[in-house]
Amino acid sequence: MSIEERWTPPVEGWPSATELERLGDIADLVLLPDRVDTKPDGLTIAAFREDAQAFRVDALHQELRVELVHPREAEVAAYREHAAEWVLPYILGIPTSVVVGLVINRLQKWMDERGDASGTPTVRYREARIVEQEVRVREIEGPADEVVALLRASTSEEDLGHGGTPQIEAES
Amino acid sequence: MLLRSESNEAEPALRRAIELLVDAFLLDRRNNAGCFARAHRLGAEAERRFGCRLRRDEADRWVNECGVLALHSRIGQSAGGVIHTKCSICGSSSFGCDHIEGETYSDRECSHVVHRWDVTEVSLTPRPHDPRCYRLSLPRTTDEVERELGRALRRDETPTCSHCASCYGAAGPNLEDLDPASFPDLPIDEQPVAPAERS
Repeated sequence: MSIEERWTPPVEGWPSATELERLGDIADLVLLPDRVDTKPDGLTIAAFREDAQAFRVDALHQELRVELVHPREAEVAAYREHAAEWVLPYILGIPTSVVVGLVINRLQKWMDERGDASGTPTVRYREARIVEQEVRVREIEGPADEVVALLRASTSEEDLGHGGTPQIEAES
Repeated sequence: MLLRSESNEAEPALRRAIELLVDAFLLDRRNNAGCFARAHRLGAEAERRFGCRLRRDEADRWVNECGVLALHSRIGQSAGGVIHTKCSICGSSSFGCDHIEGETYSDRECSHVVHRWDVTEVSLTPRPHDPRCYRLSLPRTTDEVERELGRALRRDETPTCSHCASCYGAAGPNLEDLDPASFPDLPIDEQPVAPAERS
């Protein structure tokens, strides 16, 4: 399996592009929910990937400013999907090398803990970006070791002044 | 000792051992590959000594819930949805504290205990979140069982499973068993099922 890149629409219930830009300016790591649902009784629930907790705590330990984005009145919960692939929480913007470093470290830790049980896991890395005042999501999916290598390469390019955008060639 | 015992507790204990071996394999196939063969060997012993009878469900179909079949399953039945948790370290609700599940704090391992789960989907997937979801029970009608037997069931006859006696599994897992998701998906009706005993 090779790495795939795709663009998808934002999750319904996310704030506007303007509000997300504001949040991106005040926080180093902005995490977005996978689902925002309003129940018939009016209760709103914003559900984040369970692994968002690990990223959040890692960032706090590095004294980064972390924002978990949800409607003010919403109850915060976790979202667990049926499949075992590692679907990372939505991250706002092109993350800095520090944030990408957190992601890489956490992925590496999980890979080390997992060992070689049941083959190489698939990782889906997701960034929410503001493109021409619209929110769009960039997803990168592939074997965990290859995604880690891609993210490492993106931080190396940033350090060399080549910009923070990972360059990917989609394979047919 | 257990295998030689004539005690009434021998059969239940044997079957519990089989289920534990199955869970161990499903949770870590490569590192617990030996459990695959051991489960099959114990299964063969259970079949030889006690017989492995199928059970009738509420819809009058025959079901076999033995864990050995899950060892060959390539599809798991897995639920997804929104979960509400409490931290086992401090009691906080989801994302309300700085404890990470699986990490240890003052000799206590953190777990985020689910106290409410709003299930939104149940999927058949080659990589279920909980690998124990490879356990699938595929009920069969009496007609289907009889077609496989090649004869009608006798009155009051309960079909039995003879999987372990004839399966390669006693010799260990093959590559497909060690990483089922790496092989082409099988349609659900081609999933391995226990053969009823043939005359």
